[in-house]
Amino acid sequence: MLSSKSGMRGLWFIMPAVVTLLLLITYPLIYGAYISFFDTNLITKWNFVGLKHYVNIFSNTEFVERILLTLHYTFWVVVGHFVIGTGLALILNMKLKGITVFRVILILPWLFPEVVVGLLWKWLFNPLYGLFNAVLMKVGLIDDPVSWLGDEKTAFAAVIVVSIWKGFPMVMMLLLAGLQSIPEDIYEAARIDGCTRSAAFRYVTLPALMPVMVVTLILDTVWWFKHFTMIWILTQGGPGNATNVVSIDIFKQAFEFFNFGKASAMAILVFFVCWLMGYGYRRLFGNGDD
Amino acid sequence: METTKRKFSIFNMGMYAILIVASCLVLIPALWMVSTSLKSNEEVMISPPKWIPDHPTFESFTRIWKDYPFLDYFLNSVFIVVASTAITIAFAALAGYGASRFKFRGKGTFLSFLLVTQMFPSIMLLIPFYKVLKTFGLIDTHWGLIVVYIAFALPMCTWMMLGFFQGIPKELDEAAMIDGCSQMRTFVQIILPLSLPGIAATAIYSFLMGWNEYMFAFILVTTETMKTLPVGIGQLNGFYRVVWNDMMAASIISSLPLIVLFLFMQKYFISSLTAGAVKQ
Amino acid sequence: MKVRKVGSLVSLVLASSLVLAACGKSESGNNADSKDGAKQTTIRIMSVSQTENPDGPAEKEMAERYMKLHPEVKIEFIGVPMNDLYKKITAMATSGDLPDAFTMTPQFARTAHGMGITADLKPLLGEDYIKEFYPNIIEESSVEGKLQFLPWNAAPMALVYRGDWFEQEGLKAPENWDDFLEAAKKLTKDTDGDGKTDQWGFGMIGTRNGSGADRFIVILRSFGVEELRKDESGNWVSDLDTPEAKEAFQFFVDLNNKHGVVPPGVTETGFPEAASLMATGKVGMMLTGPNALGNIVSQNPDLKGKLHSVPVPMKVKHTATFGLLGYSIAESSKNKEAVADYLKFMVEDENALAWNQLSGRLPTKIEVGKQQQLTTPEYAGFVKALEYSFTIPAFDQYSQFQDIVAEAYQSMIAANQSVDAATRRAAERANEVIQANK
Repeated sequence: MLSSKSGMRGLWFIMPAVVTLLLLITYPLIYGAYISFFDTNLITKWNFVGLKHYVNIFSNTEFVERILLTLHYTFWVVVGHFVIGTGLALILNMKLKGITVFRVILILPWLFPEVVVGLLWKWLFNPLYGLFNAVLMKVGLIDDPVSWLGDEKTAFAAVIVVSIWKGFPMVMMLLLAGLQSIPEDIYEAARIDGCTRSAAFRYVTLPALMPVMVVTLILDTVWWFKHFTMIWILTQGGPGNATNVVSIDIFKQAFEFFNFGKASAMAILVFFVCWLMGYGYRRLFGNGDD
Repeated sequence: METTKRKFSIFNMGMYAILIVASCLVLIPALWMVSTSLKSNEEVMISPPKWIPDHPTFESFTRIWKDYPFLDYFLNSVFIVVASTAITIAFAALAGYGASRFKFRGKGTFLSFLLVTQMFPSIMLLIPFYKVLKTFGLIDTHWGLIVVYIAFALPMCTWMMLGFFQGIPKELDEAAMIDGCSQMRTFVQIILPLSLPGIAATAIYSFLMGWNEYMFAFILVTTETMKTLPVGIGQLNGFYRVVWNDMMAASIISSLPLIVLFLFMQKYFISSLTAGAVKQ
Repeated sequence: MKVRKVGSLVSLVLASSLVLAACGKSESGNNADSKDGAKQTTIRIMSVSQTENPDGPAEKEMAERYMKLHPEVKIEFIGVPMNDLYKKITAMATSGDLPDAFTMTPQFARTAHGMGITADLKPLLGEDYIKEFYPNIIEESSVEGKLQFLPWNAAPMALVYRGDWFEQEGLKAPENWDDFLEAAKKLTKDTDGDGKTDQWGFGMIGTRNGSGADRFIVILRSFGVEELRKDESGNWVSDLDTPEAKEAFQFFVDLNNKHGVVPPGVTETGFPEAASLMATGKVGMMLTGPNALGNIVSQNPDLKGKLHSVPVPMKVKHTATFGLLGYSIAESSKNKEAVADYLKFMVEDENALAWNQLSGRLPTKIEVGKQQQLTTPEYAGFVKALEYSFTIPAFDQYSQFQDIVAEAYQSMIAANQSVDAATRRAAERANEVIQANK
């Protein structure tokens, strides 16, 4: 199977995927990198400005602040996903009665379109007609309606809560799949060797789950780092700059201010940040290529 | 013995308690969506809101079919997503198989490339995509969106299929080839049938991605009767007016197919969501 | 060997995508064919009205009447929500795929002009025809003397208030911001006696978007501050950190932070939310164009005749935006004449009046304006507001200024930032944009 002939056959198998991706992802990526060197409206104005946009972006702390805010947001979202997702995956992996029902229920948020989730929570958080305030006021936790999406601190937390709600099922399922691929006899062996439940978790489950976790961690991090739709629907980056994550900033630069060059430069930088994070995770968890 | 048993049942009860709390947190927003969709225009705007509407009505559900072309949106979404899922699965299965069975130059690059495609903010791909599709005359067609969704889902799906094929022993292929099967026949007749659960899982992922996508569908399609469900829902979130009950009704309608699909396939899905995929 | 194989595969895929392309084309070709086979011109119009109700059906009905008169023309609409209009135009324009006509606003006209996608309507419609419109409206619709779009209707900003409530409280229509604040305080109360405020004076719109920013800019200008203007030597300058600007910001923010005369959640209250607050009797006043009247009354028919309007209260002067909306004809269109003819039909007296009836938006032609019975308490304020309207600075990054002021008031409301910090930051950003534009 190592002969050059079989190597060629391997190429044939991956060819449709490669061609599709080259045509549809690589060209747009290169185009994006290309326009980041221009001051352009994409039609009549094409002024080559070299690295001006990049210099401009780093000439003040604004972009760095956005990146830090986005990292802050991503950190809590990913931690939420993993705490809830891992916990529930472990429980769903037990042989309890009626577990299928819970499995189906807990997957629901993942099945709702992002547009729907954004609108739904905006409706729940509505200060006058929303369920959230109504319940809290009835219970007596608050006296007057609170504008959850209208205060700097609560808006940031609210956006994180919604993102966790929407995204934990994906992590839960990937980890559940990982758990189910661990053969039963390993646990059996561990038990015979006198392992306690927690020791079995520590020495059997965790190592076996590690590879799944790392890739899930990378994907979850880069996906949510770039997240746009729900935050846009919930707060449009506001109030003030409380939820102005970097995707929203890029969107505004491109489609509100029509600074396509600067927006592209920011997108390229985000790409590098994501790539660095992926690289960092791999180094950290010692899960290099092949 | 007694004590461990009791300990276990207490432990189990704790587990159930966690599951029930988590389920409630998931279900309450979902039920609120149902409750809102059953309210009349007047009742939506009552403060404080009520859980059970005083006069439940299905008028929102009838309105979204009658006043808006939601039937068109629905059929468009179904066609586009089914077609793109089928093609994605075909390409992803081929690529995943190729990468799991052969060593060739650039394989590592290919696999990293798949991951790297996930890292660019997709909003900046909008305009280049429009240009590419325009070149091929695919703007405002079903095929335009199908091609786009293939490109979006393919990297992840290839990883998933790859992991699945890695779980199938290579000895099977070798045995088949000794029996005189060609590589392609081995793949189609021996390996593919074995990987049906993996295909189901990958299909759900691809389906979900296409079914939920909003921004590209909005930009790449212009004719009213060609639009997809998320775009239709987005239009209800009007500039001058937000009709919450209609919007929630439309949201329910658009989520149902996924829930039904998942109910049918969940068994495959969970047991095969590519533990291995991710092993790479 | 390898290269050749790869090459052949690539060409195979390209060929198959060409087949797909051909399919796509033949489909659209079929659509363009008319039923009877006669020579027909199809014009495609991208409209934001199409996604709104009852505007969409009414516009369609108008187009159908036109098509009956002109059987050789077929009009097809592309519905786009206002929120996503500019994105869609940009994407289509970059690929040379624009429809024959598309919705345009003065805010976007500067950018569109820079992109070179809009045809100058002056030669197309004729100087004489253009004289039938209010001159200041034509000025607002033009960039560098070129008419960017045919102004279809105007929605000048004024203060809408509950006439019946004002009468009960013995209040008169506010002339300046002190009157306004007094009225707002009086109207803010607990109506059902449960100890909680459930009615507020002012339905403040504080979202961070053009809709919120435009309203604040009107207030800002009523304090005599211009967010962007040309100084004597013709350079762009911004007054955002002057004491007057600080006063305006502080006044606006205090309505929420200090006086509490606005309902909770101002930063998430956009136009639709504020209109429904007005419709459900939660608030007594809001800043808006006349289109809100129809919107609110359709939600709550009891309010017919109870909504009155006055010009936006003043500090040093009354101001307003025109709130123009119209159609541009694409420079790339092959049917410019046909489109122009339809656009003329849209603003004919009878159609313009019908549109005013339906949407509440004001007509743009002088004669039609005269025919109007627009002196009712509902419309009086809006008609007067037209006199006070200012022209949006012809600066092609103007939308940045909307974002700049919106960021400032939002950070004061939501993050308790001081007015000094907020305006300093606003002025910094403003200068940066002005610098970059040189």
